[in-house]
Amino acid sequence: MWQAILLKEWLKLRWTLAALLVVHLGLLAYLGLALRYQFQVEHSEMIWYWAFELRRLLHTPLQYLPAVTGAALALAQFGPERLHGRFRLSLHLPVRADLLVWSWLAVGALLGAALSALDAIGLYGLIGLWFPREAAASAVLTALPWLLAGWVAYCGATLALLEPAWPRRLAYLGVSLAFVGLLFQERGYQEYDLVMPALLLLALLYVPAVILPAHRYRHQASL
Amino acid sequence: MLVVFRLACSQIDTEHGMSPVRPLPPESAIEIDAITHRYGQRTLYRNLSLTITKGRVVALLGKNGVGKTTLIRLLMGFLRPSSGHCRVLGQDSHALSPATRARIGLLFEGHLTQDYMSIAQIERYHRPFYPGWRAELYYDLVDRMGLSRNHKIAQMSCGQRSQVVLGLIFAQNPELMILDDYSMGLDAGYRRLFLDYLAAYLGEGGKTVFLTSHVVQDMEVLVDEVVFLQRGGEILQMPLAEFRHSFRCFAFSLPASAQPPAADAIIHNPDVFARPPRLYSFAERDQVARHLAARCPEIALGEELPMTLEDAFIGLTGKY
Amino acid sequence: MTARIARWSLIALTLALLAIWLPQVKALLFEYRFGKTQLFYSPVIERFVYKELLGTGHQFVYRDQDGRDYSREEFEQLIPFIYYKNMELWGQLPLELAGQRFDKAAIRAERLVLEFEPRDLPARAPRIQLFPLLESNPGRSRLRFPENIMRPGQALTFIDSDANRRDPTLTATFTRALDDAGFVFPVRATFGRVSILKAFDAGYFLLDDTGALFQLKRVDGAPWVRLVPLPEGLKVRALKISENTGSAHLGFLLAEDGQLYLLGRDDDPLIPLELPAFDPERMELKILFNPLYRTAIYSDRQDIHAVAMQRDFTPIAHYQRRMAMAEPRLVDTLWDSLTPFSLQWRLPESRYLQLRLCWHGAKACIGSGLALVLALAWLRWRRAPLLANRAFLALVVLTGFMGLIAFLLFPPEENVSQ
Repeated sequence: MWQAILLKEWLKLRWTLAALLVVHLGLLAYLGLALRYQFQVEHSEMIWYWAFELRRLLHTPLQYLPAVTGAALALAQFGPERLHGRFRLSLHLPVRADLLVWSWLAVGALLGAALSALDAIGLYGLIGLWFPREAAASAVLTALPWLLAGWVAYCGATLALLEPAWPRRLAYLGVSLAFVGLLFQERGYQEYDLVMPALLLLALLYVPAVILPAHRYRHQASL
Repeated sequence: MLVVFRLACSQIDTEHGMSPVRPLPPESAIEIDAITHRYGQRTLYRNLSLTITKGRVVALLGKNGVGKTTLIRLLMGFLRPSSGHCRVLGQDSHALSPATRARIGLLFEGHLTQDYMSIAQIERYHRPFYPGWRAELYYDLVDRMGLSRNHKIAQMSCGQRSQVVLGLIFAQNPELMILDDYSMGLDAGYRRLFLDYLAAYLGEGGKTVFLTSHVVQDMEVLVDEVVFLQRGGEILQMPLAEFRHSFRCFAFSLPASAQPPAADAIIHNPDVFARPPRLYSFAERDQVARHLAARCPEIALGEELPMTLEDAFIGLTGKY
Repeated sequence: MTARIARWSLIALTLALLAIWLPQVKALLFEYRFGKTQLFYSPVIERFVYKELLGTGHQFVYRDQDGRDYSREEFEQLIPFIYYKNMELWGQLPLELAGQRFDKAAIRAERLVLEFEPRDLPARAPRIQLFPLLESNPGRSRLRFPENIMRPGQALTFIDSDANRRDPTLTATFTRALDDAGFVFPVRATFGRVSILKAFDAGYFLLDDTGALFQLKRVDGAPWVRLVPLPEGLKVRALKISENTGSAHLGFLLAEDGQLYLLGRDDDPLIPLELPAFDPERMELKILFNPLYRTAIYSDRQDIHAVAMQRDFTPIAHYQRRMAMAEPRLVDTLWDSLTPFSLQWRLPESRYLQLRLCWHGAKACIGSGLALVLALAWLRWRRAPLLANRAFLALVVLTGFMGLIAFLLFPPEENVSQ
């Protein structure tokens, strides 16, 4: 049964995933080229000074990619469910609706996590080509809130897409935008190091939360 | 006469769902108990009750907009009524267990399906959910289309898509089929094919079917009972044979100066626009004639006219 | 049940986001125009004098510690070493004070400002532990960055920035030099000022594994190491290095016990500073040097202190006052009354973002009470029983309007059991 659920999610997501993979690899390639260019036109010690002392972030091209990825994954996964009310088909399957929605969430989150891991590894590798390992690790730590924004965008879009009523949909989007807005306030590297555990706990509240729109869809008094 | 004629306006106020749930007779597949449902200010049904007995094929008929699809949504728990209860296979429609859902084959309006899948993929997707899955029934139906099993459902015609969806429901081997407008978009050939399959499937026994359709003549060969749903939630439920036997159409002539007869307890529905004008009634000719002589002596009652089921449906529900 | 948990999860998330964002929105809407009080020690009247912004306009008061008001010009003439350029314009140079004459050059030679902020403490800002060790004797007027960087650790590793590769020769040379000077690896902390825009380079101060402090420079490409003499038992917490021309002081040394010292350039002993009520965790400190006095001025967001000292840092006088900015504003009082708590996201004393819970005290009962009235009115309108909604009412009592907003954004369904 779970294999069948996986099959459906895979069928919905595969082309989006392929496109996202191309975009992620493309942006990593761009980042690599941009870093190479920087080191060609500037002295290496000056770039290191900018990075370590002036706290200039050299990997900002990746900043919004996880959030866009999260929203795109949710759209690919739950857009077809919303279209023509196909969500009802799934809700009629002989499986608990909450487990079903969580399994969908797990699939999307795992694919998002895989892309995030690609970003993190790519970032570590690219920064490590031109900077010492401390800077590479710091770049990944600095990118963690951006990766978390991917999860928040994914869950926020999921809530909005599964929700049957417009006002509530706007409420979900508002809450999620407020959360995403917190994750792009850095002025230098690793400023989220202390607050990340708390933000992570807050973000985990989305796991139970996604059941609500599905429940409302299943049992709403009027749609 | 076995006519069960329930008027919507019951005296019992069941607002806020406080009425007790009646015990379900063991032979009932579906029981709708005094439901009231509103869309905004509009009341679609008030205290509507209906029972579908197991093993029967029952058609829910009604004109557009009377709330057939809404009733099926309420039945399957996708909508919650303002008051009242729906029970399906013994369970509240808002608390259907996965095991019970597995026993219900549900066709959503418009042959809704995951059309981003291929013929084979959608079968592979549904199979693990149902222990009594009969893939041969699915492929027997869909292979008749002569399409590759890798063919995408999204690239099929409406009729072809219906084959896939109905094939999936047959393969599920459900005890209860709820089919919302199975004939939508189907040409005569596809409709006949479906009816043949359904007849063969029902031949195995023990199956209940509750369906809606716009194609009334199909019901003639298919259903045991009909439920006519009227605006305001009034329903008329009776065996089809009984309906065909007891519902009559009479021609009448009307002088230019005379008022047409009004609907009442005897005259169900006068149709002055038909040529010749006709009136419909559950009463026999003599009773109608006496009734007219007393009420509208200027009207001359003619002969009883033969009716198709569609004529009878229009006669019962009106054209408008 | 899962739907109920889902709804309360959303309410909790919304509540947290409101507690973070609403204070930020309030700060944007009701900007804070008060700056900190500017406090000085006047060598003219030998009293503390201050300048303070009142209200939201450009209305300053210029006052001394005895409450006497001055005009702006009078005020500036009370602190002529600060406004020496105005003194020059007004033809009041050279100055005669305490029987001494001070011309422009003498004033400039003695003027110095040393600063120490909470953000200078370790762990108050993220820091990649890599430091460029400048050539302290560049043989030219400007310092320049080397093509390698120093990684303090189990050894003093140098990494070539062009090749991004360890430089084994430099690593061995500098590690050996520290070893020879008695340095015990690993390096526990590194302090220094990374800049080429400074008067000279003092290198770095490295804390070894035993707590001993060493100064390390690169002079003519070779290591130069000095053990910094520390008083017996002193444990170093932080150093703030400031390389200024002509100054005998290299900056501050903060001990683990909170005592602040001035650090000399050579083997001069540390100078302890007597600063009553100074809290390095939250106070910004400046030491103003002039030809006659040294004045330490330190403040949090409530109080400002000043200690006037002789040239040898012997205290002469201490003055403290509550700043105008400490007076509660109406909007702050209203905010604290309407919301029982907020989550502080940015703290002035740290570069790290945090979620610090700030309780607004007993006056928040007003807001919670008002919110409770609204909640009860809402329940009455919905004809909802109070007992079944006790969790909602408890939420409103504890979290006030924020809880009310969060709950009303995600209310229970009328016909959906949750």
